[in-house]
This record gives sequence, structure tokens and C-alpha cells, in this order.
Amino acid sequence: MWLLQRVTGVGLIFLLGFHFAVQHFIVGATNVTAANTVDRITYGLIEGDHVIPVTIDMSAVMYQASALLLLAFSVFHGMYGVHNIVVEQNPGEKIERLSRYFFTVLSVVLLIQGVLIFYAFFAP
Amino acid sequence: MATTQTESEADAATEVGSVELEVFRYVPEEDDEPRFESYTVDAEEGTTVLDALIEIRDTEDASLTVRHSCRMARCGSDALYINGKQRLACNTLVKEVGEPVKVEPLPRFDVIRDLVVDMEGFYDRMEAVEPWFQPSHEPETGEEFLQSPENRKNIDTVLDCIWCGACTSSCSPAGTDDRFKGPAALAKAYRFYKDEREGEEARKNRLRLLEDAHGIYRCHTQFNCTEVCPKGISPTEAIMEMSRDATKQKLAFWRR
Amino acid sequence: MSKDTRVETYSRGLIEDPSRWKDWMGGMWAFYLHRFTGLVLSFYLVMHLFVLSTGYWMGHETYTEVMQAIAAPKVIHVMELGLFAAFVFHALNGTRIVLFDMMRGLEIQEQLFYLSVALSFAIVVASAPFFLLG
Ligand code: FES
Repeated sequence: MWLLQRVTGVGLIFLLGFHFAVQHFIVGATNVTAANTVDRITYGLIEGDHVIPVTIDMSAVMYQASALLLLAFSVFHGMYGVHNIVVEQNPGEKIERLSRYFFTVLSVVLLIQGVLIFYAFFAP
Repeated sequence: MATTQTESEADAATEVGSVELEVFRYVPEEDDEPRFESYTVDAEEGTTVLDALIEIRDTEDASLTVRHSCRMARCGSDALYINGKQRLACNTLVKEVGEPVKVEPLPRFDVIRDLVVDMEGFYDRMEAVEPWFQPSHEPETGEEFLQSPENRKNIDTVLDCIWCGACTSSCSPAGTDDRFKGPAALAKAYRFYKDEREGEEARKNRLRLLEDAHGIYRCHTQFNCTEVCPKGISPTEAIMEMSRDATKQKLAFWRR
Repeated sequence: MSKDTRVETYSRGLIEDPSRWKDWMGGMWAFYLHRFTGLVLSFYLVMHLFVLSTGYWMGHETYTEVMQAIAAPKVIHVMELGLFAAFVFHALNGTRIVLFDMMRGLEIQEQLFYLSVALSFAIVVASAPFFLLG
């Protein structure tokens, strides 16, 4: 688990960095619409109406993979991180177990939600 | 940190004049709440904080309680929180910390009286890592367990630990999580972990002992322990090495 | 911690950490900043997925409306920059921690912390226009 936290952490530096780059540098937060989200998820990062012009096309599969990996990594890293803060307060076995359940369930909910979002904008 | 003895002795005669100390006072029979008391003492170049405290006790207020013994940074009885940092009072010159000298008992420890804290829990933690030599077999008559000088080099620094509790007092995970053994105990564990005379089995056992959710992974590399250690030990480094090894061990297990 | 039962003790409780922030050394700041930014990012993650899920539950038009509405006020842009700052620091300091796990840079931990702060600052300032003007 501890190792996974590190691995996802390092992965997130790139994935989340990329996510920020796409949303804020390339597309721009004000320009997000359902239509261009569908475009990105279905066709990948391609040339279009961007703040910064994209010169290299990114294949659809790569973009989809990055989105789903980002989802999985960030949910795990975030929820496990917060759970660890709880454990560190040494609240006793019972609350520790409760916290583990709580964050596991929350993670699953978030993952499902994330996949649904992905599915909503996936229109080949 | 280490002020050389000769240096302070040579300057010992030079007065630096009077120094103000603010000392944490708590006498359970009299006070409901702790308070701070100001004292002024004459200090010389080489006056340590412990000297000043003894001076106060001898001349101004005999009720002041402070634990000390060797006065030479060997016994570890007088670790205190002096001007924002855990230090040994006997190893800290009054002039090096600046005025007023604010003296408190170790944070995260319970206070028994004045500057004296309850070390019981700290000793429990030290004991929890089984700080005794566990050879793979009983020695035969006349048999000695010899350690190679190279192997001994690994533990040169951690062996210097004087159980003063400064590091454990500085560590916030150790403060919130009683089951986390804290830097001192983990550095102690490292001392045995690195001792190759105990053999592979014992090595693995020692790691296993530290590996649960409240074990080595609770270290958040605050480096406070390393900063405050009066003996220049780096518990952080020891913990990092053990957690790295523990992870490696687990990975090797998966491969099989 | 077990107590010495022969004597009464006075627990000073948790006054230790926050009230002593002036005494914190580099590594301590790194720890609390890392923890704080981590909590912020985790919280944001939950809210983010919640907001985005309008795209699934309420259809594409609502999604576009919601996203446009959220992105409109200037305050949001500043907050997004803050979020970005939290990410950058968490990432850089995380790299620092991974270095320690590999037994690198333990002696220069404090410098590495200042480096990660300085770098995050530089990156955030450099990318501020994208957030504030875009
Ligand atoms: S009195 Fe022994 S260590 Fe200070």
C-alpha cells in the first residue's frame, strides 16, 4: 500500500500535470463545453480551436488511457492519503476499521462516477 | 552543536553579565495550571542552561525541579525545550540561544512537575523494538560473537543514543500516535537490524516487528528528530533505510 | 503512552504543534504544507467528480451550462490558480519525499524543501496568465 501510494504519486505528477495542461493551457477553463469534451475523449487531443495550438496529435487511445488512469490514481492516492491521516491520530481499532470501510466505499463510488462521466462523453 | 570543552573552559572566566530565564513551572500540589516564572542569574561565557537552572535552584527558588546527572551530555536526563528546540540543557550555552532563555519540559510528554516529564511511555516504546542482542544460537562455552569492524561502522552513530527523548518529543506522528514507536526506538531498532551477527532470520523478524500500519511508514520525514538530536544521529535516515528494505523484501516475496 | 502510575501527571495535550509554528524548521513546514495541500486536492477531487457527473445524469446541455457558469466569475480563476499551486507544491515535495525513500538527498532536505517552494512559486507565477486571463 505504502509503495502504491508512492507509485501513484509519481504517476499523478505526470497525469495531473497533463490534465492541468489540457484544461487550462490548451483548452482554457472558460471554453469547456460538452461538445469539445466529447471530441477529446472520442478522438483524442487533435488540432482545433485551442488557446495554445496543438501541433502533435495524440491518439484517442492514449488520451482515454490517460483519463482513466488519472481517475484511478487520483482516487486511490487521495482517499488512501486521507485515511492515513485518520489512522495517524490513533483513534483506536474501531474507528480505524470504519475509516477503511468509509474510504473504500467512497473510492468505489468515485470510480463508478468517474467511469460514468467518461461514458457520457464517449461517442464514437 | 558540540561546543568543545577547551573552548568554553578558556572563556569561562569572562562574564557575560546577567541573563534572564523564563522557566516553565508546574507544582501539582499548588498549581492548577502551569505558569512561567522569570529569573535573573549571573552568567559567564561558559555557563550552560543547566548551570543557570542549578543556580536558580540553589540561590533563588529551591522548589524548582529539574532532572540532571552527568552534566556532560552523556546521561540524557536533561533534555528540555529551550528557545524553540529540544536540547540538552547541559550541552547548551546560555549565550548561544539568546535572551530571554525560555525553558520548558519536553513537548508531547506529560509533565510530572516543573521541568520533569514522565518518561515511562518513552521507555515502553524503546522496549517494544526488543533492543537486545538476539543471536541465532546459544553461545558455546568460550564462544564470542565477534562483529567485523566494517559492520560496526554502520551503527557507529546510532550507538551514541543516550535515550534523552529529544527526538521523540519533536516528532508529531509520535505525538499523535501512541502506537508509533517514534524516532529513538526506531533508531535503536536500526542498531540491531544492521548487526549482521544476528543472522538473516532475526533481521527479517525485526523488520516485521516494525511494519504494521503504525510502524515505520508513519514517518513523514519531518526531520525534526535529526535536527534536534544532541548526538548528531539521523533517525530519519535509519527509518528510510528500513522502510526501503522492508518494501524490497515484500516485492521479492511477490516474485516467488 | 503508558503512564507512571505512581505520580499524577499533567498533560499539555495538543498545544504542541500549531501553537509552536514559529519554532518549526524546514521539514516541519514541508510536512504540514504537504498535508494541507493533499487534503485540499482530495476534497477538490470529490467535488470535481460530483460536478462533472452532471454530464451523465443531466445531459450535455446542462453540463455545458454548468461548466460555463462555474468558469465565469473571476474569483473562480483565482481559486483554480490556488488549486494549481497546491498541485505543483504537492508534486514537487512529493518528489522530494520519494527521493528520501530512495535514500537520496537526506542531508540537504531543508534546501530541497526551499527549492520545491521556490520552483512551485516560479511555475505558478509563470502560468498565472493562463488562469487569470484565459
Ligand atoms: S545532565 Fe546528563 S545529559 Fe545533561
